[in-house]
Amino acid sequence: MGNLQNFGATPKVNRAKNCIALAITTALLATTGMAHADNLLGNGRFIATGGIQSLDGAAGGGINPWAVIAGYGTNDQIDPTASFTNVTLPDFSVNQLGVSIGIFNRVELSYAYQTGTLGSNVFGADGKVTLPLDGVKIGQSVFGAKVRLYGDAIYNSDNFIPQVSLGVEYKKADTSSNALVPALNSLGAGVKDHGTDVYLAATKVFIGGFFGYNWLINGNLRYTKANETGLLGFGGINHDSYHVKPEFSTAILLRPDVAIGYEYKGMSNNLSDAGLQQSSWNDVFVAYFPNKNVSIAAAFAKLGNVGPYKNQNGIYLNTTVSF
Amino acid sequence: MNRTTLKLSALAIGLGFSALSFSAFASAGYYNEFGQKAGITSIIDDFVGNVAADNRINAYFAHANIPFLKTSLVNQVCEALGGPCKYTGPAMAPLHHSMGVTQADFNALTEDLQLSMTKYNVPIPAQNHLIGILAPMSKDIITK
Repeated sequence: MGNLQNFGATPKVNRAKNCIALAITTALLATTGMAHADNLLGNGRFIATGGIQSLDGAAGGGINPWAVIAGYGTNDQIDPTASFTNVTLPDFSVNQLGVSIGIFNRVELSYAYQTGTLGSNVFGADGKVTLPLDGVKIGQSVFGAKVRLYGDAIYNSDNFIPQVSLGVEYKKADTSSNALVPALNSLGAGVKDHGTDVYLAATKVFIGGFFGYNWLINGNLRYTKANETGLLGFGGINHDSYHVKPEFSTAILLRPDVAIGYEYKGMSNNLSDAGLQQSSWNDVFVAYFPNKNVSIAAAFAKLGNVGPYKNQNGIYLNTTVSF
Repeated sequence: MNRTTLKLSALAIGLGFSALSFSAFASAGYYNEFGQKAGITSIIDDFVGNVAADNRINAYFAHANIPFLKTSLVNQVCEALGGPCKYTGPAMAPLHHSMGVTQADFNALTEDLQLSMTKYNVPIPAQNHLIGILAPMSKDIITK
């Protein structure tokens, strides 16, 4: 877990990193008493079944969590993972460092730190700058927990029962670096700098289900106030209530180690009274899992309107490592 | 969800259900794609070799009657693929009852089988067909 520095983490990450290191150490200590330490760490699940660490830190696809538990640990193993993600869009980019741990294929704890820089001012119809956002930093921490309620996405190939998990994500803007939330509020957006999402996820893998190829379907219902997953804060003027937003992912495994897929993520529109539009996210992705220790994924992401910016369509890259 | 997304989802689901019926229809061909009984025998020979070399699970087979194991596996796979064979070995649940097989053990065995199927150029859909038949057996084999 000490490898975060290798991904180029900045000193700003340190405080949060210490928090998550403490949480993971606690989890490790708690679980060590329940199994033999010599075989506690393990990766006995099938390749690709841990997904990748998504944008939010939970195991799943590129932008949506799935019901799967991070890593490759079975019901008597734990498996830590870490990841780096970059999303490059026309007017801004986001980098994410993430760590997570799957415990007994039952519980997943995750932490992700997202940082980015806005690259463009926003201009009004008169050509004047209405929002001086060029160079403004964004930063957000996401603490996640997920518990598998029932089912197994793989073993139950003789029935239609999915694997179902319940997840929670606490997101908080890094106030030392995030200047976007104050900038939005200067427009009267009325957003908060933190929020909590709860989601229910169901994942099913149909073995040989797509013309003989393994086929994954995942559906989520997310109870959220977040604007663009929290990058634009939470709630908004006259729209400070929770909404249930749907999320959908599907993937086809061309081989056990290669997946292609599509994802949809519904977005709230809490900023409409502040004159800012949000649209749902879509992506098509390809992921390659050369072995159980590393995966790489690339996607074409269509984020559409992201608050002040229109037509934010770009490239998503992720690498997830498992120990 | 916008209209494009709905259309895409409907298309994916529609294609999926066609695919489910397609795979049932095509299953008769999988026996041939394994190279019939001769091909299955080669794959099982290789597979048992993989298992013997696999330190994760080879201890379970330290005292196994290897020729009997191979014959049983060939017949089991051949029958599962719709071939003219009959598995006459012991039932899965009592056989594995006291072995203490873990999920990781079961998966390791499956991975060893995938290696052999890939080595013998069994197409991915045919591999998945067999794994789809074997996966539910996990309920009778995994006891920990």
